[in-house]
Amino acid sequence: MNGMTLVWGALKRRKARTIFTWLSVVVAFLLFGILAAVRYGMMGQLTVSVAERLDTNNKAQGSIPLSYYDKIVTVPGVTAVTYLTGFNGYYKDPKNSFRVLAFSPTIFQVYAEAKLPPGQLQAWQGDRQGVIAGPDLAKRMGWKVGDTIPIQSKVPQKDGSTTWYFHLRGIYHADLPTAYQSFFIGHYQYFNEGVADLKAQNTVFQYIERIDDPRNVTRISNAIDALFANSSPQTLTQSEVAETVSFIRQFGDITAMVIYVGIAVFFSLLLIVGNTLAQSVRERTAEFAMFRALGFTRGWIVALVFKEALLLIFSGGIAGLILAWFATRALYPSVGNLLQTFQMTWNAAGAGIVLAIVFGILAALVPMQRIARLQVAEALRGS
Amino acid sequence: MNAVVAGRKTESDTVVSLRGVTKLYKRGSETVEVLKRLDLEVPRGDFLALMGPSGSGKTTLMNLLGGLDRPTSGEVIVDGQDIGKLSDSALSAWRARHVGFVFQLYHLLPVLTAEQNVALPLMLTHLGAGERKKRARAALTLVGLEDRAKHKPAELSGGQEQRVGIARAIVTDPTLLLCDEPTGDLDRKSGDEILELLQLLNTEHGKTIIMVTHDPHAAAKAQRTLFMNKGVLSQEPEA
Repeated sequence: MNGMTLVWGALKRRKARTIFTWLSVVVAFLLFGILAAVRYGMMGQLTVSVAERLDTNNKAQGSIPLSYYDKIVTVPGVTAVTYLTGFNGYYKDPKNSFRVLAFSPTIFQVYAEAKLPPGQLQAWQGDRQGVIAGPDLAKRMGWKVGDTIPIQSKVPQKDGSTTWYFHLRGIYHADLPTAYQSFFIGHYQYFNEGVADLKAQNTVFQYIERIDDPRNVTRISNAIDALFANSSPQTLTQSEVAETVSFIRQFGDITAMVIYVGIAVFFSLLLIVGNTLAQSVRERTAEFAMFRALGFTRGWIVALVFKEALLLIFSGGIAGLILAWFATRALYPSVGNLLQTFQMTWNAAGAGIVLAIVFGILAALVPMQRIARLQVAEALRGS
Repeated sequence: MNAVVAGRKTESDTVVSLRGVTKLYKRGSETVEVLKRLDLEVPRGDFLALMGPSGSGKTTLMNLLGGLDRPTSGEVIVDGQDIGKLSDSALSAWRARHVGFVFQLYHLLPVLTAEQNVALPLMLTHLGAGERKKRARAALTLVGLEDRAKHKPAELSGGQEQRVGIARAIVTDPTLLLCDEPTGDLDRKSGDEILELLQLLNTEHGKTIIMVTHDPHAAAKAQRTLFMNKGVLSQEPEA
């Protein structure tokens, strides 16, 4: 028998009360984990945005001619340019659907955070049907480098086939959120030469530029757009960071709302757990007096109650966070299109654990005060 | 269990010595003198019964002897130590070593077995788990409950619960046993058994016992009886 036997015994004494309180803690931390994932879903894209990267889009909507490339690369301060188009496809089963991205070979100069073994990059660059896959996608589909991958789509090729064949030439690694681990990167040239739709040929969805210095964002953006001011279509160039910020602004005050809801939930939790502990301590006043009579110090008894609070909240908190992790993974397919970085991060888990400890302390404060003021003789008689 | 069942000591030295002990309580704006300049000597191996009406100061005196309260003035010396001068934590350690309490309402933890309840005070010692268990078993054997070691309080009768309470009080081999109405919540038969057990601990194992009781029948089992009335101790009950 040790102190934990007593802590465990105290929690088991009123099982229903303990279970319901514990479940309220679990639900609160589950909610915390999901709200943190929503917040990261909105803010996380900002963290992966790179200040030295610009996006050039059609100022109205739609595609941009491929011919713009030759002019964009001449703008002073632009160090690399890539462009892309793409289509939706699936591997074997419509359930395995994803976006097939068709990039220019310069993609890895612009997206330097994606790392490839040197041999794989060369293999991809030397094969117009080559494809680079994200590690999560490759794992999910069971691919290995060298595999030929048939992708079904609704985009017909010139020969009428809607099956596009790719050769897996490499798997990139990037220290980025989950959403960035499942790209499928083919060659623009393969798509452009193969696609039957004439309107889709020689057009791109977007240009992405890498620039020499983030302080030159405005000058370079203006310079690029000025090149096409008298063309159709006109372009709109902005930094990746600015584009992400404007995306986040679409959500208005949702981030603030997420925080307010979180505060309300935890305040309720504090009242529930604090009340449960206070009630439990009140019921055991004579027992604590007995402990004091046997020679246990006030500090020892206060620590006992504190351990009870911490065990209740900490175990419930951990369980809630684990559930939140599973829940966010399960919810990702539904919200991932909108919130690409929707996931519960280690930082959120760490914050949850700190929160559990802080709430354990706060919830135990009132009962601990009661113990500190305990009059042993009266408590022994009062029972 | 040798410590608990140690043979009766033959020294006739004083275990408890009260010198001019006064205890005042504040009740609103009024100050009540609960104990009035008490003097008391309790020799080692004594079995003293304290009787008196409710509010006479018996429990206050017990609390002072057990280090649960401090005198307003005077000295409470137990086994040579003036306990009124000890800090709160030192007093806790002193209680763990020198005093065994037996309560009227037993105060056993319902979630623990009899053996675990008895072993509770041993958590404050440096003994290993095996030794603690051994000593708790020996104390239970001494009170005749070795076959109830794994039972929880709810599975025991009132008399058995009080026996567990006594085993818990003696398991650390304390200098002094303080019993506050130990039979107050028991029927006559169970009460008699408890009193016989206390007598056994006194006569066979040399325990010094001070027992507060309202019951003259219980007091008759002690070696001597003192009467408390309005904060004053006397040899005779007030007429």
